[in-house]
Amino acid sequence: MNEHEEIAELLGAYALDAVDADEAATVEAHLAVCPRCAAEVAEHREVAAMLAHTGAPAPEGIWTRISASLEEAPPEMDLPMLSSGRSRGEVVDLAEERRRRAPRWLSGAAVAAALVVVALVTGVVVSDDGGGDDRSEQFAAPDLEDVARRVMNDPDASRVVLRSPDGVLEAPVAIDVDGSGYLMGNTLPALDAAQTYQLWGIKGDLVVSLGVLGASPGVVAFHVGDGVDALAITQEVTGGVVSSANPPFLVGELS
Amino acid sequence: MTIEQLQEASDAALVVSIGRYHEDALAEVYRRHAGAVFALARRLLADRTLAEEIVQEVFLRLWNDPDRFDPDRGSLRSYLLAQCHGRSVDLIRSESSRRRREEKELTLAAEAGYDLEHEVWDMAVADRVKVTLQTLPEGEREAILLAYFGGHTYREVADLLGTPEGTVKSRIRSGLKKMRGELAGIGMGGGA
Repeated sequence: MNEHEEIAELLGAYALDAVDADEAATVEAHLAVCPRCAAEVAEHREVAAMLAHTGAPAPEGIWTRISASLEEAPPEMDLPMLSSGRSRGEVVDLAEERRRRAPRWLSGAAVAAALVVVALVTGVVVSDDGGGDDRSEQFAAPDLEDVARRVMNDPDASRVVLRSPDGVLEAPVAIDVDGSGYLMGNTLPALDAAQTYQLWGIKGDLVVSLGVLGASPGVVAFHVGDGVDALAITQEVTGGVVSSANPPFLVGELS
Repeated sequence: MTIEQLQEASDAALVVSIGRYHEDALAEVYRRHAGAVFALARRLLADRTLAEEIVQEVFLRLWNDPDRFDPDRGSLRSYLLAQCHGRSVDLIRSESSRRRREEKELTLAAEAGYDLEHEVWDMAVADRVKVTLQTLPEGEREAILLAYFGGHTYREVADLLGTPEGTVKSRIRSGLKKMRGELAGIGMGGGA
């Protein structure tokens, strides 16, 4: 049996999430280069969706919570301020923050990965990405680095340096008075293709995704509303996550 | 969009609107599919609170990252259910849950397949899908149900059924292919 056939045998189990993590990674690498197998997985998932089909009405209460979360989305952020009294520049342990906020049912360490924090992408442009969809064009600028440099030197802009907990890595950020933020991410080491950096804004009890930055960010534009007290960068799987269970890679508090 | 336009819009069109921050479009997608997403999460996790959190996460992820849904690759419902299933299974396989499940499985292993089969009938599965599932050989049906609704890996299914791993792997695939063929034959094979 050749490699293609061996992987093809796994496709049914893979489509039902019934393979181990290492097998899933092998299948995913294959799917990226084999449209026929990718199509087969899509077909298996359609069948699985039929199995799961129910005529149950959508639960009302959950929508209320989702909708409320959307209303909290930037740029109209109107959320509680950080109340920890942390001093500027102090490293924030996001994992510890999350544990503190976790409801009782999330006491298990692994289950804590399920902690739902509101995470709404507000728009992000990476310098090597032209963008063009509705979510990015409002920030798109051909001379992003020039704009970022101007804001970095603007006395009215806020500035903060995000630092790794060991102090080795630094990434400066400047935020213009209108909330336009610029991250000089050139210092961040490139990740492999399966990973991405993700930027988070911390506001009181909420950790809000400000954008998925890619594996090698360069200069990044993003937007923050009022009241965001700290920024953090985590490493996530490609595509980013709604809520992160990973420790911050870099972090810094805004003035 | 008006309410009528939203109700008539295809799932793919709604996702495009979500990309433009139209909350009404997300609400319509939720109205169409959240019942199935919630039922699947609840079935897998046996915990209403956890299931609600999964539903919230799945729809917030669609709002945050609508581009991840590719209408050329399948229906929105199967995409949302796959997200829900993957996330639920992650939770099931987390260390603490796994320990609990292993203890439970020691006593339930012998009858797990039987129970699951009955439980799945209790869900409001479409009649045609039930019929199609019923036409599968027992080994294929059991393997699919234990994997999909039990959240087990094919290796765990092999242990539960006392069947070689390779056989379970093949049965899941062949069973899904047969169901696909049957359902496509009656116009239920997929699409938005």
